[in-house]
Amino acid sequence: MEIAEEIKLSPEEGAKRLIAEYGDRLYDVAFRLCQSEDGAEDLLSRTFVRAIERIALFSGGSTLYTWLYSILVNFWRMDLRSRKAEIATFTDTLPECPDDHPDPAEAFAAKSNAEMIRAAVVRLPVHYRAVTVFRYFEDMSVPEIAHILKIPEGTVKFRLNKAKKMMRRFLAQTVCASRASK
Amino acid sequence: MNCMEAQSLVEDALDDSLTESRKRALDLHLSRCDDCRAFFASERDEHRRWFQAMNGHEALRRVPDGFSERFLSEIAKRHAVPQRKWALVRALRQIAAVLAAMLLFAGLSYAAVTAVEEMRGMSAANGDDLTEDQESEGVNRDAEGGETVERVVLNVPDSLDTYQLPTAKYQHETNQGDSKSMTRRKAAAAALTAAMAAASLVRANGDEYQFIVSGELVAATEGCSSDSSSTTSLESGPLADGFVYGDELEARYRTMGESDTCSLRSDKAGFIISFR
Repeated sequence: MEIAEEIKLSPEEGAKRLIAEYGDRLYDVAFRLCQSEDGAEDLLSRTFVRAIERIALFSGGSTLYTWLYSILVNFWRMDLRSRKAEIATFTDTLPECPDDHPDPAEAFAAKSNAEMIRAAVVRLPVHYRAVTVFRYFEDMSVPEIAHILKIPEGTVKFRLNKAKKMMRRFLAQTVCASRASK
Repeated sequence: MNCMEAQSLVEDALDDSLTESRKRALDLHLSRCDDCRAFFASERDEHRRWFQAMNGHEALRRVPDGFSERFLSEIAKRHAVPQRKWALVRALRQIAAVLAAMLLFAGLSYAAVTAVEEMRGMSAANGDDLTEDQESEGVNRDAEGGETVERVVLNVPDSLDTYQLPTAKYQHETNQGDSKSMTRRKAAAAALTAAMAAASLVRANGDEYQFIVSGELVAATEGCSSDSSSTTSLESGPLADGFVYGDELEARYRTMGESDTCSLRSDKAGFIISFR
């Protein structure tokens, strides 16, 4: 039986299937957006509650995962709006790397290190982190990101471009830091 | 194509979404420009490495221990209340009921009717702009030359979160050649405009509302003089229901014997309705 149908018949059984089939994946996305376990769990919980309450509105025009995903992102965007002040405090002033031209071998090592890349994503300001997560973790195209964030495609490209520059800078700084500690 | 144009296409190229002609132009440029070729190679390599880094096996987090139990307990509690009682409790708690009379103008052959509702800064979507495309964009319109509906003053009772808008007209103009689908969409646009307007009025009490739009769908044919105007009731009762959260709305609309879903969001320019 389709999960959507099962939710309509039995919300409890449907909830179990939602968790089993989509829990980990959506939790991971939620964590990447929120960067906190409590925040991610709260986001996931509200997403599932909303989905169960509104399953009648699920038209089947998209996959259930896409629908759940859009609910989760909508909640996240609402949360963002409610703490705009916090976002506004972000400034793009980062400690300067003493050497703008790190050793190419070290730079390559840093760029190749998955842990460093993931750590760099965490440091991104929230809007830039979102497009980066959707782009590289969810493998979304620019139009898909624009659709889910409800922003123009040009804005997505602008944020992606800026996010990439910040990521490269963070990675270069990591190289600087590791070199300084030697 | 110059270097700046070429490099601006990098995300489209990574998406493999360039049109054939753009792709040919880009390929031609890359075959002649070492810098851009290096730039694209570097971008592709970086894209691949970042994608792999974020999708590595160790990267995937799992729901925390205890989440399933906590969540299922929450769901069980919600549904432990008898269904009818729960529905009533929920209705009393969060339903913003909108009662609006909606006029669907049909078959206007020679009298142009423009109408706009402006309520606390929110304007109706312009039905003329609705197309069969997935997304139709609404724009603000002046009331110039048209009928302006009086502002709605809503008294919100403290004890009950159910609101009723005084009867108002939300109207969209249809053309004789409109398909059934288009006519239904325009009716939905009117209904959702009413819902969004109501939400804007009650938003101070919270961020989310369930809504029901009840009303009457009226076909009005207008002639040059008021004597030659006539109206016919097409249907009445619940026309749409759904949820408003923040500046967005998700709804199911039922008109002319069919049901569909759509979403609506507002911005400074007006409403944007996405039909599915």
